Amino acid sequence: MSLGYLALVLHAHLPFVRHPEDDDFLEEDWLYEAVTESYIPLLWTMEKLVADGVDFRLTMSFTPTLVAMLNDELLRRRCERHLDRLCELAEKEAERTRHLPDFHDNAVFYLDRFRAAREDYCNRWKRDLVGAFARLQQAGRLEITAAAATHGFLPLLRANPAAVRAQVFLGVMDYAETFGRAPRGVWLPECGFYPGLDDTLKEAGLRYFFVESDGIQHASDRAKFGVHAPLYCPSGVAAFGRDPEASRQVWSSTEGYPGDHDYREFYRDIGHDLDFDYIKPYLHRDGRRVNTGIKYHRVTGRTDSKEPYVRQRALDKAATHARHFLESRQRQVEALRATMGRKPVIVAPYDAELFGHWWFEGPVWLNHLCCQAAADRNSLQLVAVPEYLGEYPVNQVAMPGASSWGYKGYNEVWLNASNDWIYRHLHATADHMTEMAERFPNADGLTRRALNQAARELLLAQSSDWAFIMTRGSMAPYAVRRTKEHMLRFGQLYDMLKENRVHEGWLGELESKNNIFPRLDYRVYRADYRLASEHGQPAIAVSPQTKGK
Amino acid sequence: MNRSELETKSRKQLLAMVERAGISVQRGLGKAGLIELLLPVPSGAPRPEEAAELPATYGRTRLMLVEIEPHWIHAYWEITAPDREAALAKAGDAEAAWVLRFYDITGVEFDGANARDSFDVPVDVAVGNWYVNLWSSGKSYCGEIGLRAPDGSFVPVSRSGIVQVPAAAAAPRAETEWMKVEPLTGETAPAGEPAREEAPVLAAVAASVTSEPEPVISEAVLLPATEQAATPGNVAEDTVVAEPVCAAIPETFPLPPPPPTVAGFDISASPSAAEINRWCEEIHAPPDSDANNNDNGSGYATVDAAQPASQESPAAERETAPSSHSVERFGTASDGLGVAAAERAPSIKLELNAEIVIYGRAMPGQTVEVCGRMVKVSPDGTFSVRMALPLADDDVTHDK
Repeated sequence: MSLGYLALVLHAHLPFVRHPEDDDFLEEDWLYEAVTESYIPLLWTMEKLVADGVDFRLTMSFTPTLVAMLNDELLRRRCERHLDRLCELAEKEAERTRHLPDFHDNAVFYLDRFRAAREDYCNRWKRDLVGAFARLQQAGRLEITAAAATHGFLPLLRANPAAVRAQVFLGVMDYAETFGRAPRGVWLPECGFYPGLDDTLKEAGLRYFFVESDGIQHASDRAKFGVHAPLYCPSGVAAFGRDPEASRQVWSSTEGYPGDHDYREFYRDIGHDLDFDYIKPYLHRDGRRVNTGIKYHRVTGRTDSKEPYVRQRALDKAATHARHFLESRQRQVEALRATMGRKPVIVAPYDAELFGHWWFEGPVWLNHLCCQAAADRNSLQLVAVPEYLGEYPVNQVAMPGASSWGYKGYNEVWLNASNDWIYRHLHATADHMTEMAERFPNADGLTRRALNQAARELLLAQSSDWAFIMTRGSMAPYAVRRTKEHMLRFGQLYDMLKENRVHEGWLGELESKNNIFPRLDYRVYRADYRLASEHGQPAIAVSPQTKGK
Repeated sequence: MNRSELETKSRKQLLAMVERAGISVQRGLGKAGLIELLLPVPSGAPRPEEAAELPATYGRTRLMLVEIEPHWIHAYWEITAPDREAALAKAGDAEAAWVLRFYDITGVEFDGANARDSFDVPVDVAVGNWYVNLWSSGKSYCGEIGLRAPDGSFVPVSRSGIVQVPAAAAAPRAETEWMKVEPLTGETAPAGEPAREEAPVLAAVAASVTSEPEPVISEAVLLPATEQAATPGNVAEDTVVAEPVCAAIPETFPLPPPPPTVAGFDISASPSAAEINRWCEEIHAPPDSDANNNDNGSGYATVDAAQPASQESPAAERETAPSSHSVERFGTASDGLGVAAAERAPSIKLELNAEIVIYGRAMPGQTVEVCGRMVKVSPDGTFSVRMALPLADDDVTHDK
C-alpha cells in the first residue's frame, strides 16, 4: 500500500490558428510543431506503457481550440505535409552529414523518428490524435479533463458573468462531443481562479479543478494540509493545489531538469544554422529563418559553443532525472504522511508542450517515471483526481483565494501596460453578446447563424494567448491583429443584427474561416441557459462532516 | 465569372469551384453563400481590414475596476460627452478636478454611504485608464469617477461594480470545517484502497492545539555534483578520422560541369572520382592533436575557443541557467510555440563549415549512385547530393 499519491497533469493547449487563405502561415506551425514534437511522442510514450503492461495514471486536458485544430481536415492535411517535408529534409540531412559522425547519428535518428511519426500519424492513428488520446482514457490510463472554450482567462472576463459561463459551458459541451462522456474535472485557463467561479463549475457539472499553490495558501480558512489535500469550495467542487517543489524541479530555468547539459539544445536548430540556400525550401516562404525541428546540439553549458547531442547520454540522463524526481516525491510523501495522518497527494501540472517541444527528452522522462513508479508502489502511487476523491470523499471546506499560475501568481501577465487596452473592448463585446442573446430568445435562419458566428468571434478574441503574447513581445503583431480582427468582426455582425441586414456571403466566409464550435448555440449567453443533462455529471451531493465524527 | 453567371450553376458545381479555388467551406453553406465566396470581393460586405481600428468609445458612461494583484488595480472608464458636460455644470466650479474615489466596502452591503473608508486618486480623465496601488490586500472596493471641487464637494459620474482584490496572506487559524461530497459512481479508490468516510484525524492537532500541522516539504535533493556538472568536451573520441570517402562515382552518366561551389576547391571542370577523393582527403586533414584544441570534430572550426566546459565550477553551472534554456518561467502559460530562436541567437564570432554539392541530371527513373549511395532522382531528372565535410582548425586562420 502506498504512502501517498502523485497526480501528474499535462495541459495541452494552443490558440485557434487556422488560415485557409494562406498556404504557408507562420503561426500555424505552432500546431505542426506541437504535433510532431509533443503530442505524437506523448502518444508513443503512453501507448508503449500500455503495451508493456505498466500500470500508470496520468491526467491531461485538451482545450477545445486545440481539439478543433487537431480534428480539422485542412490542418490535418497541412500537418501531414509538414511531416512529409520533415522526412524529406531529414533524408537530405542524413546524406549531408555522412562524413560528420557526431551529426550523422543524429540525422539518422531524426530521419527514423520523422518517418515513424508520419507513419503513425497517417496510418496508425489515421490523423485522429484526439481519438488516440480518448482511447487511452477509455483504457483507464488517462484522465482527460475539460477546459474552457477558448482558454479565456476567466478572472479578467468576470465583469460579464455570462461570458465566463459560456467559456465553461462550451468547454463542457465540446468535451462531451469529443470524448463521448461528461467531464469530471476542468483545467482552468492559466489556473486562473476567483472565489465564486466554483459556482459556475458546479453548474456545469464539474467536480474538481486545479489551482496555483497560492490559491490554497490564501484560502478563506487556513488549509490544514497545505496543497497536499484538496479543499472543497463551499459549492462542493474540489480544488487541488499545485505543489511548488514538484513544479520547480521541472519548470525552473535554474534548477529544472530541462536545462541539463546533456539534453537537447532548443535554440540550435538547423533552420537557423545552415546555409540559407540549402535550408530555404524548409523555411517560411518569405525566407524568414524558423525552427525546423532538427537540432544537433546539446545544452552543453553556459557557452555558445554547443557540443553535439549524444542521444544515449540524454536518454540515460532522463532515466536518472525520473529516478531523482520520484525519490524526491517519495521523501516528500513520507514526511507528509507522518504529520497529515492521511495520504498526501502531490499535484504536478505542466504544459504538455513542455514535453518534447521545449524539453525534447520530456516524454522519455515521463516513461521512466511511470515505469519506476509502477515498479515501486510501496511509497508513491500515480493517481488521477477522481480516484483520489473516491478514496477521500471528506475534505476541508474553504474558498481558495484568487490566483493564477502566471508570474507573481495573479493577473499581471494578462493585464499590464502592453495589453490593458483589450479589456474595455472585450468587456463591451461580451455585453453586446449578452444583449443580443437576450434580445433574440429563439432566432433562426440567417439571424441565428449571425448570432452564432458573433459568439465564435467573441470567444476567439477572449483567448488568453493574445494577451500573453503581447506581454512577451514576440509575435505581438499577430496577437494584436487577432484580437482586433475578432472584435471588429463581432462589431460588424452586431451592427448587422441590430439593423437586420446580415450579409450572407460575408457571414459564410467567416463561418468557413473560423469554423470552431460548429454546433454552437448563441443562447449559451442567455441568463436562463441550462446545460443539457447529458453534458454534465450528476449534481454534487454534499454533507457537512464534523472533525470528531 | 460574375454573379449572374455563377447563379446559373448548381450548388454542386459551385461547391466544386470553391474547392478548386482552395477556399475552405462550412458544411451546409447554401448556394448564395458559395456564390459570395467565389466573387472577387463580396459586394457590400464589410472588410475588417478597412476598419482597422476598434471603436474609440462605446457610447456608454462606465467605470470598471479590474484587480491585477493584491495591491494593484486597473481602472478604465468612458464618459460620454453629455454626461461629462452635465457633471461639469453640476460641479459649477472651474477648479473641480477629476478623481477616482475608492470605497472600502469589505464586509458591508454598500448603500453609497456606509463604506468603511474611502480615498481619492486624482486622474487625467482624458487618458481613460489608470493603475492604482493599494496598501492592503483582501479588500472589496467600489469605485466612482467624478469631479471634486476644492471645497471637497464631489460630483460622481459613474460607479463601478465591486472588485475584490486577492488576499496576500494566509487566513487566521479557525475551526476547520469538513465536508463530504458523494463520489460519482465509478469513481473508485485505487485498487485495495477503501473510501475513507471518517474525517481525517490530525495527529499533530491531537497532540497540541497550539502547533498547527503545517505541511512538511522535504528539502530539495540535488543530484550529485558530478551528474549536473558540465561534461568535458569529448575531444578524443570525436576526433575525425581521415577515412577515404566518395570512393567512386559511377560512370553510367555524365556529370555536367558544375560551377565552383566550395570556396578554395576548383571544381569547375568535370571532376573524376579520384579528384573528388583527393579533395575529400585534403578536407579530411586530421585536426591538430593539441590537448587544448577545442575542436570537437563537429565540423566547427571554433576559432574563438571557449574554456572547456569541464573547467567551470559545477556549482556555478547549477546556479546560472543555461542562457539558452527555454523554460524561463516558473509558473507558465501556454507558450507561443513559434517564438523565433533568432532572438536568442548565440553570439558566435566566426563559425565555418564545409560542404560539397554533387549534382547533375539523368534520365527520369534512372538509378543514380553517388559515392556508393543511391540518390533520389527528381521527376525532371535532376539530382543533387550535398555533404558536409569536417574542417580542421588550421584550415582557416582568423584574426582573434
